[in-house]
Amino acid sequence: MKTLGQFVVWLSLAGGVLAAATGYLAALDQPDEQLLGLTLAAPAGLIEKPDGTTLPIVDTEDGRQPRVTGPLLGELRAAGVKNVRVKQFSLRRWRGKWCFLLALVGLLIGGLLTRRADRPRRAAVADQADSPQRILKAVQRAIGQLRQQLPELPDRATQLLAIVEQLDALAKTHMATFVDARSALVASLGMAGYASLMDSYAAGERQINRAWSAAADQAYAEAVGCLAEAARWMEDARKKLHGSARGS
Amino acid sequence: MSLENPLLPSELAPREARYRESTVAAIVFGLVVGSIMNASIAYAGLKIGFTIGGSAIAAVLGFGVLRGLLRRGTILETNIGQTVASAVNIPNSGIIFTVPVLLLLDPAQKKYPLRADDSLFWMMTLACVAGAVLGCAFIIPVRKQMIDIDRLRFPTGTAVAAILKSPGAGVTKTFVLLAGVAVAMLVFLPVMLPAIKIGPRPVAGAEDRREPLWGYGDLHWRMPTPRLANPNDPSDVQRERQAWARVDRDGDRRPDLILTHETIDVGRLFHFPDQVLFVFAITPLSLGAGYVTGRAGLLVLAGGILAYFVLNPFVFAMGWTPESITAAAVPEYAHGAFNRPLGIGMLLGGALMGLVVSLPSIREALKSLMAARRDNASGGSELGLRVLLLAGGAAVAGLFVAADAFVGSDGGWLGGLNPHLRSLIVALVGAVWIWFGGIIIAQCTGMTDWSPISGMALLTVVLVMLLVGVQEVAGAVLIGAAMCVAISCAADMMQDLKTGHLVGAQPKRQQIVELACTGLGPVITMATLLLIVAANVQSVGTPIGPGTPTPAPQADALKTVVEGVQGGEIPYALYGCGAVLGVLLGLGSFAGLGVLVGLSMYLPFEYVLTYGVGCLIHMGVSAVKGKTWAEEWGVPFCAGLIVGEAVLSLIINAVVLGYG
Repeated sequence: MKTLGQFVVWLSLAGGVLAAATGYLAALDQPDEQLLGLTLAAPAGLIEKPDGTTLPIVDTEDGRQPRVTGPLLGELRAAGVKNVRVKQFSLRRWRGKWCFLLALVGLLIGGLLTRRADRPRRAAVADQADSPQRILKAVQRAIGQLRQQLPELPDRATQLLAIVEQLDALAKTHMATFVDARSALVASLGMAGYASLMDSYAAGERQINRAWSAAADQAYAEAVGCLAEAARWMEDARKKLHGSARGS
Repeated sequence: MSLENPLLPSELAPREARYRESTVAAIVFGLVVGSIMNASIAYAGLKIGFTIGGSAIAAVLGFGVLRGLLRRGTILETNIGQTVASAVNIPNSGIIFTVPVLLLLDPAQKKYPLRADDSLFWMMTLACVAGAVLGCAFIIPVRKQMIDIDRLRFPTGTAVAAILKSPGAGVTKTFVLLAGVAVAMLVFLPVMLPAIKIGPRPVAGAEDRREPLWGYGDLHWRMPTPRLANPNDPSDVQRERQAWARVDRDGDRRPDLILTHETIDVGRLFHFPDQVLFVFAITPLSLGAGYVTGRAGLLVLAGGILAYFVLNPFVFAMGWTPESITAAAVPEYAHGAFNRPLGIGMLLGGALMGLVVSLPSIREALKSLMAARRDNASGGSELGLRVLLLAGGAAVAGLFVAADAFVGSDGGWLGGLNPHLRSLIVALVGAVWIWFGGIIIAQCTGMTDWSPISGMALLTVVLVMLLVGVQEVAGAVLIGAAMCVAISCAADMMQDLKTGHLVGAQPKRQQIVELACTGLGPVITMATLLLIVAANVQSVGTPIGPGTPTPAPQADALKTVVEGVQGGEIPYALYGCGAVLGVLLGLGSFAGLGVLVGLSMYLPFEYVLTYGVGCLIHMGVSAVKGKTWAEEWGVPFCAGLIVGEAVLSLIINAVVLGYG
């Protein structure tokens, strides 16, 4: 259903922009009274000079603003010109309006189809092997293990290296996967719930990033303190996720 | 909730005292580098028509100065340095696009005297400073929504973070980053070299006969020469004439270049129909930004393909283009006649829809901001709303003072009102518009790295002229300049905050230094402009524009718009149609779709194509080597591409500045 929805969206968009592009076109087969007095916004018609070069019948260059007059209309029609681009917009004159309206309906339907297809069952989010709950637990476990491991390491250089390497690995694996679960989380928690969850998660993520930077800068105490704060924020995020999941 | 930490002895706290972040050295470094970049890039922008952001350059310089020379400088200290430098640098792009319009409209400087002894100059400077402060103050509250909740990518911000983290990321990754820088410089050098001309400088008023340095165009890769006609066969002569018309569009009696200094025309190489534009810009920066954006950027490419492969050829086939527009001229005509207005409309509609859909997350972000004030443990990490309201209020007051001096006539929608009330309404509408514009630009930058500043400036000038009358050019340019500066600052701030998030910086510290330093940028740019004008008047008798060393191409484009508004040429219906389409596009699973499609219709397609190639390469690398590999090695390399082009542009600009 999602593919169908997207197809409808893009098809309608194409139709919509094409119809809109005709908004300022005035077809010359309309009655004179609808055309006389309009100001041309682009050159119109083409005449061939004796030397074989061509020129527009009426030009709009150098700031010229030619108005449609009776004789000009006759000349343009005689030269086979079908449309001219004008500066004034008129709903009555706009031939693509129904196509545009249809495109809007198409966009509406396509958008709703896509949205509907995106709405997975809430339970499914919790049941997956890489569900956000499990990823978050894995992140917490990794931070906890790192904090436990640090005092056992022989020297400061090894401790700092361990922080950099393990946080690098964490960022590439679980944390990247958690962020990828956005649409599932929004579907499960709603936008407000997701925002609240990500508020805590991002705060934890920032502490993890800060711990990495501090370790790279040999600031061990800062790095360790940030890990503790990261653990606190991840626990906060887990509680929010757990609470929302139970609520749903 | 207890903050348990078995490893952290209490005597080590407070940790901030031991890990340097906001230091005097970093701030002074940022101010000095930012000021130099601001003046030199402002001059170069007036001369060659484009500007560059300063974050990446400042990050690289930060390592050299803070870590190398001063033997200090943590990752976060260098981050503060680049934050300050880019905050001081960035307002120049907003100013040079707008303010010189007054000089172009009135070269004699009688109606719009932009001189130090006239209030117009000072009010314009005040408006730009107000704009810079407003841009920062208004965008800070949506940091959480855009970076923490919506997870926007901000390619340049991501690239700068990769640079800042490179010392800790290991030697191999640093080499990968440097390889990216080297490749970018190598590829981009022939694009930039022709900006340098060698030979004796021309005297005032004389033709410039200097030779540009070598560029890609000098490889003379041209379209194949048509087969010679048999002079006795009229149909063969006709065939040759038609063939020449196709290969020699510029009429110089030579087949056109496939590879110019800046682009490669793949469409002509593979004989695409003339009305289908398939040209790639040679820009490692766009390629790198596309890669960093990844799959999401394909929507930009899709929008561009819709406009240039479907809409334009169809319009041409249906005979909806003027008869005098040749097939080859269709892309350019269509861009001005409907792609660009529809694109700007879609941007607005898409951004509005994005805003509506994001309301719950904005509300959560604001709740979190309020909570941060109460609970210092949860950050104290964001600048409080009270400070932002104070800064915003002061900036609006400054905007009112500036507007009050120049919104004089009694025309437009506000005609008949008390003049001060009119100025107040203009300042308030300007402030609201700046807030909305800041969000649009930050979204665009976050999703794609591009900021459609010129489109927003155009709409601002139109809006103000409608409010106060089409003859109120000074007032319109004043608010337009404030808007341009504000949205540039807003986009830059979000890039910096994204970098900050990725290296673990305290947002509050970045926000304070950016808010405190950004007002310096407009002052430096306006002073630079004053110097340039004085020098030009003395040497060639004209303040700025064609015929001077600073033709100000971007401002020249806005001048056309101002004259267009005065002549009633603005296609409002197309903006409206675009806006409705943009709103409805956001109904699907991705509320920001209208922004991306609008951006692709608005931007020059050659940049969109190169950007799209970057996105496709990311997808290809992810498929072959895995997503982790693509991020781990591809992002540093592409960060190098972004930095390499920016640094080379600055170097060449400096040479142009010094050499002329």
